[in-house]
Amino acid sequence: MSEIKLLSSDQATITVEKSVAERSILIKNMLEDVGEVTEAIPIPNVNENVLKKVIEWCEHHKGDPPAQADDDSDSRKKSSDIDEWDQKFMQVDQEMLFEIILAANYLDIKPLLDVGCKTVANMIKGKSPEEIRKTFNIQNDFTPEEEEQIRRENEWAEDR
Amino acid sequence: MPFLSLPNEIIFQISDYLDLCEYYSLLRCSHRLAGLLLPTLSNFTLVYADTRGQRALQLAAERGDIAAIKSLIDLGVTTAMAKGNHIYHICPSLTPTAINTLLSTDHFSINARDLCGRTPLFFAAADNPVAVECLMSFGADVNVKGGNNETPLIIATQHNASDVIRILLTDAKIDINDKDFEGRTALYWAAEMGYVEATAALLEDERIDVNFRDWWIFITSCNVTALEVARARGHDDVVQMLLARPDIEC
Repeated sequence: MSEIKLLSSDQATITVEKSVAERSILIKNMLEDVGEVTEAIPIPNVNENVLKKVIEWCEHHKGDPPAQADDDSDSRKKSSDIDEWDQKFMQVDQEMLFEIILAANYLDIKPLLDVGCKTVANMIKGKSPEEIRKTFNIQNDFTPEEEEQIRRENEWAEDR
Repeated sequence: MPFLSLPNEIIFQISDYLDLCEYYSLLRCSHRLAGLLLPTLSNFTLVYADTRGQRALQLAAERGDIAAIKSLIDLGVTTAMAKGNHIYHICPSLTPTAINTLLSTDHFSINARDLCGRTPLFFAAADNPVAVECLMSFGADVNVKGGNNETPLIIATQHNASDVIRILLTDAKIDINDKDFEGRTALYWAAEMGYVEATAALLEDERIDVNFRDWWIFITSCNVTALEVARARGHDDVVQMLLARPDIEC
């Protein structure tokens, strides 16, 4: 069983099973391009904590069938169902959650990116703008007039 | 690492999992989110064409917002909703400019029919004389029949819209004595409902037949004139107007 080394942005070296690391399409393609590597592969955008978390996810999901090439370009994805293990895995603070999402995006691990986005979507569900702002600490930069204008122009979207 | 520092592509991806209500909430949180999400908010009118889509069309028509109506049509809302349904939702409040613009689109034609066979003129006939005039100037068929064989003139009468009645009657081809499927003419409807203004407008026209009898087939009552029905319903004003006619048969 071959192993490879990854070098996080904060210069930590993490050894990981090759098949696990290859859940990342970025790493997989890189390895295919360069062949055998002995030195650690730099992952400049991801720090050690986040990288470890991502690897934990990849380990758990290493047996998963390869992501089917579903392009969900049409209909909205609707369902935000997340399996139990992933739900637990995503019970982290917001900072970490967003870091995982960004890492999954950078490393091209689509299933993990999906789980992350669904988790954030679930945090938004059923909330008013004010509640969402509170949840994510978003500054309201609208004037009352601007808010009113959006509501007026999109009255059809309002719940009646 | 706050939410707003996520790149656009990630925010789009998150928004894909949101339904209309939450999507709309999210975009109202800040300028940046509105900038990202507002342009595709209207896609939900396609997802819920027969509810939200109709409502969007209706509201745009009420505002006289032609650009909004056009962009909804271009988006495909009218094709996504039950056939011809959009006519019902936009016509009652259409302005001549709107009609003009809409006629230049593929999904709106002067005699287009909804599922019940009703044309734009039908819906305008209830309460929109300006639209009626405009539709007629574009050649709208005034003798078109709806699902109960009713005509725009009958619709206008049922709404006591005397100004619409007068406009419709300016068309030389109109059949003022046309009957719905139970044999009731516009005058009969006016008499039955006791609508004085509608009765007056109809009686002004020399083509009116004041003595026809209805032919209710399915319900036993039949063979009743407008005068008789007005009497039966106790609409004395209308009775007096009819009795004042020299050609009335009592």
